[in-house]
Order: sequence, then C-alpha cells, then structure tokens
Amino acid sequence: MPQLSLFLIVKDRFETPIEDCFMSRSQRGLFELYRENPERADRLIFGRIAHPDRRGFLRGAGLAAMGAAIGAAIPFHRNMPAGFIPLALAESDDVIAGKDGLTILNDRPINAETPPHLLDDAITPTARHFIRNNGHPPVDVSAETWTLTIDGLVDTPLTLSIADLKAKFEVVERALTIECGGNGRAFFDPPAKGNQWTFGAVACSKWTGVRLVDLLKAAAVKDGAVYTAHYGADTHLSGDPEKRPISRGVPIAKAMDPNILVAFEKNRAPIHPMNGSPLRLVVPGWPGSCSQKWLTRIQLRDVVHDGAKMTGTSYRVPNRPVAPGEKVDKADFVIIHAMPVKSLITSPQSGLQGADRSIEARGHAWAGDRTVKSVAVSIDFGATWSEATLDDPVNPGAWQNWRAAVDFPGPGYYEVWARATDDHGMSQPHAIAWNPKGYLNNSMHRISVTVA
Amino acid sequence: MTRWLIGFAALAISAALFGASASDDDFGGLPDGEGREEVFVICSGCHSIKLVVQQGLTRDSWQESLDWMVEEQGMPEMDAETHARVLNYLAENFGIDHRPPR
Repeated sequence: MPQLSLFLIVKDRFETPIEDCFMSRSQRGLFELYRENPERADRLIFGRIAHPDRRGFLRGAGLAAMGAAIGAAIPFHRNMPAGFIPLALAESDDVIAGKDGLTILNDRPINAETPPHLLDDAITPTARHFIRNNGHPPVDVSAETWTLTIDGLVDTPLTLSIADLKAKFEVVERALTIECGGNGRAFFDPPAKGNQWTFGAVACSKWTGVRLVDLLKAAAVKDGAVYTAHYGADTHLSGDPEKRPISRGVPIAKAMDPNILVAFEKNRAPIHPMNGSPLRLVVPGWPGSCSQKWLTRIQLRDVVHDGAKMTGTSYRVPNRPVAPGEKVDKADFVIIHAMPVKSLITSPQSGLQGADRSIEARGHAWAGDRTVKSVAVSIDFGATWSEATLDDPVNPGAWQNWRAAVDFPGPGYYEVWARATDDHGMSQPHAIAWNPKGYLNNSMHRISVTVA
Repeated sequence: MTRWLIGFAALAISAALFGASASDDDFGGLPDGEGREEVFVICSGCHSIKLVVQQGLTRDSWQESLDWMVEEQGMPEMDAETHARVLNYLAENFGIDHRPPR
C-alpha cells in the first residue's frame, strides 16, 4: 500500500491527532501511530497481522501493502518483527532529528533546502545545512569500521580507517561553502527537470578532516592521472546493486587544491547522517555533487571519469549561451567546474511588513574558486546601488559575510536587491542564463520589505 | 514486475478496504485523471511522488525522462498501452505551464 494514501485514510477514520510540522503530516502521523501501539499501527496502516510468534505476516496479511509502500518485495518477510517500521519508511524521521526548518522538496530520496532567512548564521549550523541525496543513504555508518581506499593510478594504494586518517595526516578545520549545482533551478522558464531548488541549497559549515592533497601525495599519484573518481556507500533508488546513485570526480589539478577536505566532523560534531556521516569529501566552490558523501573510495583515472551523473547532461551546461527552451545536442554539453559569483540576503526575511525606515540588510556572498570583491545593495529596483561592508573569507573556500545600512525614504513597498562582484570583475546578472538542466542560476537575490 | 504487481494489488486492497473515495492526497498529490494509478505505482517504485509534482515539462521532455528511467535508472519497461497512459497523464497534468507547489 502506498504509505501516504493509506495512512491519510486511516488518519481520517481514526482521528489520530496530527501535528503540523515541516515534514509531511502523514509521515509524522505514521511514527505517532507506531509509538502509541505498534501492532495496532501495523494493522491500521498496512492491514498487517503477525504470526503468533510476533513475526512475519499471517496468511500474507499486509505484506503486499508494506511491499508497495517500500517499493520492493520483502524476501525475508517471515522474520520481520511485528510493530516494526521498515527503515525505508523511517528515513524521513531521521531528517527531523537534527534538522530544523528545512523545506522538503522530495522525501524519497530526501532532498531539502533551507529558507534564506534561516541561513543567517556566519557559519551554518548542522540543523540548517541542506540535504541533497541521489540514492538511499547507507544503513551502516559506523565510524569505527569505515575505510577509505585510494587506488587506480597511484604507486601506493592506500586503505585507511578514520583513525588512520587522524593519526597519519594533519587534521585541519575549515569553513567551506557547498552549493548544489541546481540551486535556483525553480526559477527557470521553461522549467528544467529535477528538484526545484529555490535559494537554500547552499551552506558554509566548519568541516574537520584531512586534506585530499595529502592523501594523494601519500599514495603517490602517477603521471598519467587526469581525473579522480569518487565512490560512496549510498545505494541506487532502483535497488539494483550494480548501479551507483552518483559517482563524480574532479580534474587532477583541482584535486590538488589544498582547500579540499576528506571530512569526518562538521561543526565539531559527527557529520549528520543525511550529510554524509561518517566520511565525505568537501570540495568548496564546485557543484556539491563533487563532494561525495559516505565516501569509501577515490580512484585515480587516466580518463575523464565516466561514473553516474558525470556523463550525458548531468552537471553539464551548453558550451555557448542558448535561448530559453532551445534544444542542445548532447555533444555540446561541458562539465561544470567552479560555481559562479552569487549572494544571498539572509536578513531581513523577505516579506517583512512594518519595517523601520532604517534597517540592516545582511547576508553572504561566494564565488566558486574566486574571492568576492564587493557586494552592492539597491532599494530602487536597481536604479542606484550602494556598497555593502564585506568581510574577507575566514579561510579560502568560505563564503563572505556582508552587511549594509539601508535607509528607506518613506513608507511603502520596497525590494532590497543584492549583487556580488568577484575579483575577476564578474557580477551577478539580473536574468537567468538559461540552460536545459537548470544549473548555475546566480541571478540576484531580491527580498520585499514594506516600510511603515 | 513483481514490484508492480504488488503495487497494483495494494491499490486493489486499498479500494476494497476503504471504498472508492480516493483523493489527490491518496496519490501523493497527483490530481485525478486517466493514468493516475499507473503513474503513482510506477514512479513511486523508486522515488517519491513529490519529485513528479515539482515538474513542468513538455511532452517530449517527459518522453525523454521515461526513456532515461528505463535506459539508465532501472525502471522496468512498460507495455505500449501503459506507456501511452503514463505519458499522456504526465504531459497533461505536469506540462510546461505547471509550477511546483510552494
């Protein structure tokens, strides 16, 4: 049985109280029902009745329903305990634990972004870091048994535990910006396929780990290596063990960037399960997909990596500007490298009513591998601009915080626009440079303010 | 195939248990229409319907998506009739003018 449908019907019939929260009401209700009385919940939600030994499905009662909810048959169903929520359905509960205020775009796999005003912190708290999953996260994420293998075109292949990483390599902490390549896709017209991210698939948390370049030096990369290939422990949505949900890489020159970390902590705590616990890559300034989560292996290759979501049109844009809606030949797509200059207004929250005439606007700005040189703010639809105060990044790879005193001339409706310019003179555009897959939208962020 | 049979069986069970008063919510937000059941069962085999209802695509683009799902993402191939119902439903309900629920 489709979990949402059956549950909603159950909810209506039995008047189970449903709390309003950001996760889907039905999913939340499922957990409440199970907490109250697991075996009753089995019966209500799936029509399940267990055998007298409290395992399995008596005469198959509820088995088809649970299988449909999970999306697969359950070969060992005879062993499944009564009153048991399959982990495949329990995933959403993990999002709630440790995340706060995120907008869920997709709940299987979980993809969630953060509203701009909740990204106001200089360093993004773990609870406010977006989630982009391509497959199902691994179930076993024990840091004690986790290993990372570096192999392929190296003289000394390495297999290292997390304890080895900490013992054998310098451990560093860096604030690093990760942004999904598709952040801002929701504003494409015509629309582009995929999760419709608005503004909040970006974050800058503090990551602790070892430098990728140090691992590559220890493994002694051979001359012919041109690309890395990253592998994680997440599994494909279809359940096919031969398929990988995502396996991307970076050119060898980028892999040597000392700002790239193999991280085992975030904000001085274990990494959140949905953000790649216990080990992940953090490649600041490049599409988030380069920052493989649940990292198990980095292979050095003598060709551009052709793993899942490296080829076709994934994380690629046309090699020239194209008209909105234009058909582009696959051969004309190129791999995205660094992300373009961009900024976000994180205070005030868009839609502010009754604002004072003088307020502070603030936010962050970032520019892929570059540095942001200036941020300007307009309150008159871009006719005039004034310079904001812009901080240096706390370290290379971190976003830069900015703030501006804004004085409105009188009551009425205003929009505050922010525009960042990088150290190569590139500024954020007004309009979206449309591309078929909806990547790299760095158009200016606008918020509305009504002054009393 | 097994997965789909289970899905269809489940829908049948649902209808039998709770009557025919299905709402959009029962199908993850998919609006009523010919082909809704197939779309629900086939797409939610791997991912949430939340991914479907975010999209606004041309018929060609939906066709490409279905091809991609079969060729690269492990979706079982549909018979011609099912394929047509699924494609029609998606193109009609999630066409180029559709915008994601906010």
